[in-house]
Amino acid sequence: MDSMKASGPGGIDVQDSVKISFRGGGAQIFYERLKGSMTQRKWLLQNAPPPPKSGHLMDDGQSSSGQSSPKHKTVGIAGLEQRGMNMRKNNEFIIGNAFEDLEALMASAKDVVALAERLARQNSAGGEGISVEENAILAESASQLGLVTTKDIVGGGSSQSLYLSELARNLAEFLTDDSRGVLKKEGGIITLVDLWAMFNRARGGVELVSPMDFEKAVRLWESLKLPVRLRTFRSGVMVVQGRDRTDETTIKALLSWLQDLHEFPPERDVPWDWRTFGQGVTAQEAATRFGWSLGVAEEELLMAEEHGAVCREEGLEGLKFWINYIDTGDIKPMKTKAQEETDAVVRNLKESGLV
Amino acid sequence: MSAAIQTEAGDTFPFPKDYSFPAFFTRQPNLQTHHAQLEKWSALVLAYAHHHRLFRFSPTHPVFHNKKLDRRFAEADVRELLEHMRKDGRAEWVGNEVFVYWRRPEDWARKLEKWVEDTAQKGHVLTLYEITEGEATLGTDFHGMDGEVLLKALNHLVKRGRAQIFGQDDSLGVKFF
Repeated sequence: MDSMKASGPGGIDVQDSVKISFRGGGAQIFYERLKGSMTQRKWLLQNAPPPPKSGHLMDDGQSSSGQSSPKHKTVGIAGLEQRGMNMRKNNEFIIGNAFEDLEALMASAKDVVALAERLARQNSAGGEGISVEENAILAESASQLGLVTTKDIVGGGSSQSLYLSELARNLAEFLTDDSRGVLKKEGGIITLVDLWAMFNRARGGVELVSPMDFEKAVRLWESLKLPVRLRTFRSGVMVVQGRDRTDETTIKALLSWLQDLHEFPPERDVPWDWRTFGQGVTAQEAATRFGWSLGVAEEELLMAEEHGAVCREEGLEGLKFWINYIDTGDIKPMKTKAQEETDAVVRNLKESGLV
Repeated sequence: MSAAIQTEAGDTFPFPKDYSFPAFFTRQPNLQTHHAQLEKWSALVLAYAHHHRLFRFSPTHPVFHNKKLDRRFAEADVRELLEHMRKDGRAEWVGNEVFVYWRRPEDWARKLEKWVEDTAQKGHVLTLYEITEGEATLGTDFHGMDGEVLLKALNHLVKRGRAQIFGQDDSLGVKFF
């Protein structure tokens, strides 16, 4: 262990001593080199003014503000300490700047969004098969989704779960936001596939969400207590709907519509008594009536059928659903012969006072 | 509203309301609804057969086709219905059609027994032809009865030791005790 004295080249924070420890040799070599340096006075070179620095980063041991003032280099353990302190200072500086950067980004984001909108408009001008409504959503969303979660913002693969939960929140907001009213426009229910397409379209073709991430995010709604939920129909079709929307409310809406068809005469003559039975409705008609997609309408009708609220008619005009006038609850469950015999035995036993 | 089918005799069978309901002619996939559908069709077939005194029923019977409504209960669904009736003891396959038991063979047996008693024919011998076609049964339910169903009913009585059947295939006789 060698201990040496070195005098700093003056100025502030003069270090009187340098403590150097060696492990596993090297002390002799160091001593020789130091001796050499002392004779050569190399530190005189260090006193030359440094080249002007651009940017905000500071090198360790150098103060950018002290460009004109003589600077010194500390070495050894004290040097490490010094370096740590400078790092912290540097970090503070970076963070401070970062917020400024963010503001600058926000300012430029407006330009970016304007560009996106312009592109969307061009898209709609030449777009085939895109409805006016969808374009409205697209244009509207382009601006509003200008700064939604991307993988980069939350730091990529290392924080996958954070990305997913942020995506889950974004989606819930996207669906329920009053100004956009995506869910409302879809009659309160939308298939997951449609939502995925709509959401990615709204992102304007950048930072698209993969189907897998999308489904994973949607499955987080439950645990995040968001006001939307994922529902899987028996067929496996997945839909998204408000948390407050239940099978019961849907059935109620369907039945009151079917009930109305007892009041209003059909457009053409029908061979049945529409005042008694109303009319059968197709999934297409239900979709139009409630603003659902066709797939959703089919599934909701099947759900109502499963609950016994409606029954089906397969005819030349396709599958139609009617109020269930077949099972009106007045049919007793089937009794087998064995049951009848058991009943008879029980009756006899009762009559004879044994039971 | 009730539809009706005109018969040769001019009387009409009062069809139930369900017969005018278009969805009644489509097999219902919902288990409970389907059960109700089978029960209603079963009741309809039995009532219809009783009304027209039909003992055999074909899956292609016109009753399964509502011409006015232009709806048809498909033959496969009718077969399922008849099978349901069979399990319920209300039908029995005979070749490609069924006996429909708006009265079951044991019910017929009871009726026969009572008639024999009421008309003091115990100990007498009657041919099966006499029972179904003879003057003696005019005005009773047995007149015009399907021979095979009658035989099933009589076999019930035989089992209980209340009758004895003898003779050849086409000239069967029965003696009541």
